[in-house]
Amino acid sequence: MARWRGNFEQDLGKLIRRITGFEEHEENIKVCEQFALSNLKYHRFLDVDSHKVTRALNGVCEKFKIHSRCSKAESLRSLAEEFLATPAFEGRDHGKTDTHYSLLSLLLLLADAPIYSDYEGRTVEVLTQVEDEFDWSGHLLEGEHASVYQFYDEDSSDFSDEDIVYKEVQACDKTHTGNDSSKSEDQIRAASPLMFEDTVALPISEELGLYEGEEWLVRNVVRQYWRGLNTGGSISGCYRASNLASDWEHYQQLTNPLYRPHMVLTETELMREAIWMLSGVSDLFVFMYDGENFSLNNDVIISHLTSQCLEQNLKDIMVTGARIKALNEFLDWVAENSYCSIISQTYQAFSGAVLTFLGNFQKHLTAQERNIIRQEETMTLFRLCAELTTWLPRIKLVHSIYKCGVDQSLDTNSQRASQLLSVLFQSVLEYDTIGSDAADMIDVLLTLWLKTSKPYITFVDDWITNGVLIDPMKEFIVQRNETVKLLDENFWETAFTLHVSQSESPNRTSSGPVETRAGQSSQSPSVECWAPKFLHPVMRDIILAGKSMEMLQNLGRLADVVGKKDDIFYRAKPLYDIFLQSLEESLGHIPQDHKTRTVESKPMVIFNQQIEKQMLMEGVYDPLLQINFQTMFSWGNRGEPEPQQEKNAEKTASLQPLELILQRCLYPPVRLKYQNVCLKLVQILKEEYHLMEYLSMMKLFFLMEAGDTMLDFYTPIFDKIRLFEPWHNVSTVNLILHKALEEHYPEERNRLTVEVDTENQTFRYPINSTDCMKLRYKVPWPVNMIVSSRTQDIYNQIFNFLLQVKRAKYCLDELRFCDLQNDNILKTLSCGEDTFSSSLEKTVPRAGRIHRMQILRMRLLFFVNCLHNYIMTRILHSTGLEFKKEMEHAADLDEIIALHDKYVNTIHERCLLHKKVEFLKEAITKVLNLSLSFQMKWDQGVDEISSKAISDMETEFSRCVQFLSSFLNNIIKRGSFPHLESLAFALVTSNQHTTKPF
Amino acid sequence: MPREIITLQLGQCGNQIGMEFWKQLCAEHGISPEGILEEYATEGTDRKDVFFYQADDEHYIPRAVLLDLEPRVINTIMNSPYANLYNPENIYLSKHGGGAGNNWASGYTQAERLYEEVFDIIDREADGSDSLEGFVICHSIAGGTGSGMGSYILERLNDRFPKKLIQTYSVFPNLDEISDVVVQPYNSLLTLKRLTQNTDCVVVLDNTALHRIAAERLHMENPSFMQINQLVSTVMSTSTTTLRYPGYMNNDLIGLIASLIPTPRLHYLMTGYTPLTTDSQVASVRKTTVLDVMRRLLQPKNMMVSTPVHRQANHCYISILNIIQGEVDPTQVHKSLQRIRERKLAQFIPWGPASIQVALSRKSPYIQTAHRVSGLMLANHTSISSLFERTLRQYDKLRKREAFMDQFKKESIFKDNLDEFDSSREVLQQLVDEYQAATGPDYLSWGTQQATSTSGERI
Repeated sequence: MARWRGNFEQDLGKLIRRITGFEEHEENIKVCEQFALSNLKYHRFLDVDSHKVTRALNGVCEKFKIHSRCSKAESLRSLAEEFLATPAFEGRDHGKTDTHYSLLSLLLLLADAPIYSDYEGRTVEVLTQVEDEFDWSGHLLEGEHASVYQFYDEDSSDFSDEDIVYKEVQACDKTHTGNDSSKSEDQIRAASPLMFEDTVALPISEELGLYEGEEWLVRNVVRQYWRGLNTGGSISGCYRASNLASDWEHYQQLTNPLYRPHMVLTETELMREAIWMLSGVSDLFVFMYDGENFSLNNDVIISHLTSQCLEQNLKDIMVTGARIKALNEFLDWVAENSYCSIISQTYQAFSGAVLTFLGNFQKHLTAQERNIIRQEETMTLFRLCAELTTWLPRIKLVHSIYKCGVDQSLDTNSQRASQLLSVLFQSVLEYDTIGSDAADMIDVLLTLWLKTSKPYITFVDDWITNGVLIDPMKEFIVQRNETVKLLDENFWETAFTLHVSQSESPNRTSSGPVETRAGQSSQSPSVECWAPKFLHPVMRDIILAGKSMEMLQNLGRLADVVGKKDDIFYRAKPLYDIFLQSLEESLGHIPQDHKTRTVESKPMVIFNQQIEKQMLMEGVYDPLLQINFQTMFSWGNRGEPEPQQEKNAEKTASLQPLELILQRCLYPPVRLKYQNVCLKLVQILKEEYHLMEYLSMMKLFFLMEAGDTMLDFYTPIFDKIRLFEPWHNVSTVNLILHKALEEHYPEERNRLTVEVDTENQTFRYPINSTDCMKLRYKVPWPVNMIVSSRTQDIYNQIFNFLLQVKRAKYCLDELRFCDLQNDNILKTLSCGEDTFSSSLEKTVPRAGRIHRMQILRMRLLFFVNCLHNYIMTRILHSTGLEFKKEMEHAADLDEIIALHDKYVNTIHERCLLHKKVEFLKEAITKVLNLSLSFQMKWDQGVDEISSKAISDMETEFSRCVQFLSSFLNNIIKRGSFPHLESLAFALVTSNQHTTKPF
Repeated sequence: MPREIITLQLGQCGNQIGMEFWKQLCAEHGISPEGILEEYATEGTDRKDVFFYQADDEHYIPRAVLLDLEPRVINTIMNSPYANLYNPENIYLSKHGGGAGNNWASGYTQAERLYEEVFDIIDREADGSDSLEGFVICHSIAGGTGSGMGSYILERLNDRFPKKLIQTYSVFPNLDEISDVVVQPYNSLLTLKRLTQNTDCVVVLDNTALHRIAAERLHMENPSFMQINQLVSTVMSTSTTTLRYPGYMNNDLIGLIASLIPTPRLHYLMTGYTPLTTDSQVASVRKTTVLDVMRRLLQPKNMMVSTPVHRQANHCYISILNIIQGEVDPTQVHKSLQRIRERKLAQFIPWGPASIQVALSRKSPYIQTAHRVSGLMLANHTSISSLFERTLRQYDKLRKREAFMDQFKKESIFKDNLDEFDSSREVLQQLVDEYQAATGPDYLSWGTQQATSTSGERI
């Protein structure tokens, strides 16, 4: 014992510390050590006594015998003896050393009630390696694509290990696109079976040693039929008759040197080839691919089928194979070009969806293939076809969508994207109308459509929720026009242009937005054409909301609509998620997508549990945190409805048309956003950018509501014209205007200016001389989109017309009776010289002429007053009231602009400035002009006026009035211009007395 | 550049009316009796500068000239809360203070004598305005000062400001109180000649009608002068409302008047106002519509001129201007006009275009009224001639007896002869004839039949 004392003392110390937890240098540890040591040295663990051990061993053996376990006893004894005889310890060459005995005693002490434990003799241990059933890569890769879907990187989608095979095959395929490579073919042949061995034939490998390598290879490696290695005599029968085919073959080979021997294939091989073809491999032995279709290799024969029959059987599969090939080519194309701008995100999403779909198909195929490899159950070609029947129409459908939807001939990405989406949606609707028969197709289609539309909906969402249009591939229907600067008054109309094909009509792009604005309810044809179909009903809302968001952003008020004010981290739930969620609720399930969702949620739960465990172990378990986690992840679980419910929901879902469901799921959130955003913008414009104030300023000055101010402006000018003073001077006119504004609108002096355009001085009538004046009101940016320079031009036309009316009225008002009757020194002269006129003078004395002039003045004045009254009251005033009322209910900027345009245009039209009523305007202008010439005559004095001149004026005036009143009367009778009624009414009353000739 | 209007208040009656008028204007513009703008009225978009101007201390001063030959009424004004409103330099009292003794000739002669001093004030006032539009004169035609002094000033104003408008608010005497001033036919006749020849527009305020309206419409037994004058001030302030509250239309006085007056002499306007209330009366609340108001305005009982009914059936309107105040939809106005026309509620002249013209106007935001809509009618009606005929008849009666002629003969104008009476009578008779002629379609050729040339006349 003493010789290894040092060792065990140290160990003892460790033991004590571990058990008691005492620290070194403590008094206790010494006490413990002493106790333990004494116990070890002097009481319990004395040196071993060989006799005692032998005795105890014998006792155990006896005990076994008593308990009728002779075999046990026997084996114990023999083992003990064997052990003791073995020279192993203490460097001696014989057994039975102290060490032997101490080990035995240790074993005896450790063996607690050996009688009760069963013991079987040690056999040769076979370490069976359990196959890892768990689908690790599948598990690890699952959920990858759904949570962080990379549109650029399709390769990271969920493949199970079987798919990796497919991938590799594909990869090989890809590296050797040329058909010349028999080497690559070999690689595939060589690689694929081995890989199958890896996964499937593991149990056999254990027995590897039992067989000769050659035999194993023959059994397990697929014969290289693609190299023309026939199985030889393996299929020869014992009867001569049964060998007829091979004999014939042999004969043919012998007689015809050019004869290529037919390759006899087993059905299994054929099925494998078929499955590979369906996996998208084109370099096949049995099936030849000519770039579009697969055809059967004529050199191949199956021992039990004629080639026609075989072809017939394989026709469907071959067609499907070709489709899959086409789809795969599309996927490759997308994957290769995803970094350049050719491929739109919609295409990428579509290819992603197709990939998932094909992946599922691949899973199915792999399962079939595994079945074939296992050879546990009979697989025939016919059965394989039967297994695939459900998939073939689906693939056909997907392929047809690909054919119709992916149209490279279209010019722009936006057209392509919308074409694809429209085709998808159209087919969803088509199959939806078929009803429950096509439920399977609907599943596939809906998933495809939902996934494909995600980028598009995300554009919409980003645009109308966050105000950013991230569209690197230019595939969204609307595009930010970079050339339009901020603060441009045409911003609203031109900042965004629709993607419309340039070749179609060059002016369409520019007119597109205008059209949307003009035709409020009906979208412009270009929108109709190139927006994805399912968005048509809300396209206008989307465009308006998006534009409003852009406006808000430019106004720096984006924060008002994005997120909540009190929570800066708040982000709105993506529209796509809202859409999916409500779709889920109303459909009860979403095929495919729903599945991925639930799978996706599972690892989360697991993860959660793992975290929980870990936390429990670490001792930092926090119930509060757990609750938070639960609420965080609970939404993921909510996606799983009860199976019973699901069934019910499925029933109801199939009963209602999908359009209705869409209306309920997608459109309300979009409309809600539209309402919020647009109302906010309108509110901001009205409240902070003084929209209404500017509009009323336009009314005050251009429409002369501020009658006094405008009176102060135009009277000095009219006076100047009357006195033939020059007034066409910009600074003079501006000075007059500013002086007029000084009194009540001093702050508007900086904004309002007059332009005098003296270029076109060719006026038909003197009344037009004021037409050269143009008011210019400087409207700051956000408002000038509404009060644009274009509308200002219309305002100016109205202003000029009003100015004419005002001038005529002013001229007539200012006529004083005394001016007419002023003695003219030339009177006698003119009487004496002009005999003709003097003869007239005699018939109509001076007083008579005065009187006639006065009456004419009254009639002219009455007419002008009626017109003035009509325009000021009936048109400007009441149209203004209508406009004000409408403005209060305007929901979006588009509507405001439209309302304002309508308002201005209505006034323009009702002031008879429209082309339609030009002849009316002509007559009115004549009368107004007559007023001016009348004023000139009046100012000259009565003695200068011959009664003929008076008669001329009277007849001209009567003619105009008669024309106007009769015409207006007709109009009223037709009822087409209700607003003209009051004017007509006034003129008709003025005309009554003239029914009898004057 | 306001188009200023200077108000001249002549004589006892004129000053009383004027005082009420300014009270009304102050209330409508939110100006305190001291001329200081009230707190609540600083934001207004009204035009105070037509009738007021601002002194250096920003307080508002009426463009008013107060003239009288006796101190009684002006002293009342100077003792009222409104004493500080007026510019004291604009108040002119005759030094001897004896008044005109209801004698036109006395007033006329005194005015002649005071010409320099009076016109100093008026000139100063006129020079103080940027673009003077015209003068408004308040006076009565029956008394001495208002009629005599008024006549003289009218003549002189025409000389001095030939291009300026002259509008008068002339109070015609009450028939029931004819005994008070027996010589009023003389005074009226002589004044009417000047009103016909020297003014652009005369708003006739018939005291008889005012009393009748006060008694019938407002149920006042013995209406005081103040209550009557309130009616007058309402008419005056409403007729100028479009000048003071600018809108689309009628922002100058001439635009308002010009269409009403077809020929130089037919410029006597009747007025009507509805709905009428006074402070003392609890406003009987009723629904007022545009049609309602316009129909009431055409009823003779609401006219502020009493003309004998049925005397001559073919009297008719030459022109009508309705000033409608309140929140009115223009379409309603049109409908009302149509209705009135259908019902033939108004008879118009047969020789020219005529219809009711409507001017919409805002209400003062500072005066609360129970009525949504109210209206004033300014009408040129041929039946006004009956007033002149009556004056002529009464004059003829007095003249036949040469009654009270001594008082007139004392004054310089009648020292040599009474030609002035004769010419006045002739002018008035021509006026009556013209009004008579205007009732018929032949008025168009009326001028040719007139042999006598009126070229000498100056309006």
